[in-house]
Amino acid sequence: MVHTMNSDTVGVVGADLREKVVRLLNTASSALDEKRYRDWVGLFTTDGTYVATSAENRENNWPLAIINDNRATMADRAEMIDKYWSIEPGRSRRITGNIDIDFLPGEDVLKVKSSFVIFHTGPDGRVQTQVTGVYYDTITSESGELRLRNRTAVHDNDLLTHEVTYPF
Amino acid sequence: MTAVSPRPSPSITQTKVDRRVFSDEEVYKQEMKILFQDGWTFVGLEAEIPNPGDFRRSWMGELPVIMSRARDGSVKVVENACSHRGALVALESKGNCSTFTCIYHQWVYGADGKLLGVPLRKNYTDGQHKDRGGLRAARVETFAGLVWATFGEVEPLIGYLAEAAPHLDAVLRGGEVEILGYHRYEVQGNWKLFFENTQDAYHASLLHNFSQALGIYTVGDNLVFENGHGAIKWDMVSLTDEIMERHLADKAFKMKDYKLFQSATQPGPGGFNRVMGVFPNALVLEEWDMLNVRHIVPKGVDRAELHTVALGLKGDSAEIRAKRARDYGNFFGPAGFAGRDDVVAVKAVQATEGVTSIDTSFMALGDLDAKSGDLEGEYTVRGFYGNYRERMGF
Repeated sequence: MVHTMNSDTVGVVGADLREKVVRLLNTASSALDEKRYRDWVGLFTTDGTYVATSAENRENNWPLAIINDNRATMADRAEMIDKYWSIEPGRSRRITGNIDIDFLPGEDVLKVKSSFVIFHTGPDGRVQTQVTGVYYDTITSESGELRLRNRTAVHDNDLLTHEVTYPF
Repeated sequence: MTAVSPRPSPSITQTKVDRRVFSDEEVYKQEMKILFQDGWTFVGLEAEIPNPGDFRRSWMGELPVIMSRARDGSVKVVENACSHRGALVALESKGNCSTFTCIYHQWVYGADGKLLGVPLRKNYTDGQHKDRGGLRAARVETFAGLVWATFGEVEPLIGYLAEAAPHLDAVLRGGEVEILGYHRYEVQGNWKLFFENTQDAYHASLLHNFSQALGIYTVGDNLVFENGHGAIKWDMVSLTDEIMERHLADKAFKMKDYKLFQSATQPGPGGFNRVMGVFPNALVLEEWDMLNVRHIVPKGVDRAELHTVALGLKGDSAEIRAKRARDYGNFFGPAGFAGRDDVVAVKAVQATEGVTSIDTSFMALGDLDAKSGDLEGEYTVRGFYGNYRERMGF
């Protein structure tokens, strides 16, 4: 329960809790940059969900996303990444910022909004901006650790210019 | 002076396609005119412009156009280029308006492209602005909710669609569909390579090797139609939990979420899963609860965009809409279990176009004396390139 998270006052998150949130976001980014998809999945609650969709689909209330996973499909996706997909060599770098934490009294979750940019270096050696967007995270405490109950990654790009192997 | 002999046309035989058709800029320019302007070209869906005044930007090849719904309910397609200086008239991707006004000097046009107003018109000597005319209007016909356009003198659309028409009507339920969202992504390959990919049935168990690990194979038909259209179809069988659990027990890939293969809706007439390629640029798919139309938009000889719209049927419950969208996104989207690999494969082919010793693409699998066959033959791929050769005059 988040009431163990020590909010200073209603609606304001203390420095310790903010630090924990930032650490969770950074850990999530590092796991994907380092291609440790299963570690990233481990940052979700056991009932966690992840959605990656375009701003256009979200603004129009269209249900189509590019990824819409629960823990079962996350496990299937891990198999695809480890065993079945052909993955070009390359690197990615996720930068997360503009973190806005909303702590609602009486609720056991934090609502966290942050901006992200992902740069991708492909086999040709060039760095490109793969995608930019906003994370809408619902974060809660599970077994004493902060975990993602839901992450919705809304990308700004109207056109994706690279196949998507790892989530945003 | 030594005369320069013209380059020979690319050679296309039944089983070999000269790979210059994927890398030659001159061939590409000819395609844009011959296939995407002089012939029927897919531009969008009626469901995208349901109300009078609705418009959506689209492309005929690389030519920017505006698809709109006129006040009388008819669908119009006009070139998106002001007859004054050539600026885009519609800048937004979609919207609703009664007229189109160029932002630059405020020339105003109707949905049918007619020039309605020009500022400072009295200052034009002898009314010369009238000679510029309106927005070039294409001939438009629709079928099963698909909007097609042409600037050429061609046969009626229904004749062009030929044997593909009843399949399209079945998959799209006569056009009674609704939009569930878009995927737009770049394919780093010639536009034909993605069309070919969808009509090449047997890559499904090879490129998408998880299907072998799942032990799921399909047996069906590879149907070649007139005018380069084709369909891959097989019986739609919905797999129950019991069947899947028993099936997966000894398989390498013990998929945890297989709802994709469990249809919650009735398939179109015939009860088939169908993947259709409609020459030159429309792909129409129904597999289990997934329904979609893909618009291939060429963006240069070595690049194309896929504008995919996921569809539901009018009257679907919220639950069914959500399932259709989730299944489609997770399976065929750019991060989809199958869709992602197609993008990678096309890019790998394009990477060697024009620079290696492999100067033809080889497609001889199956019975060469038969027009159509089973899914382990390259029938529809040959059908596509046979029509392409004829249309391009190679």
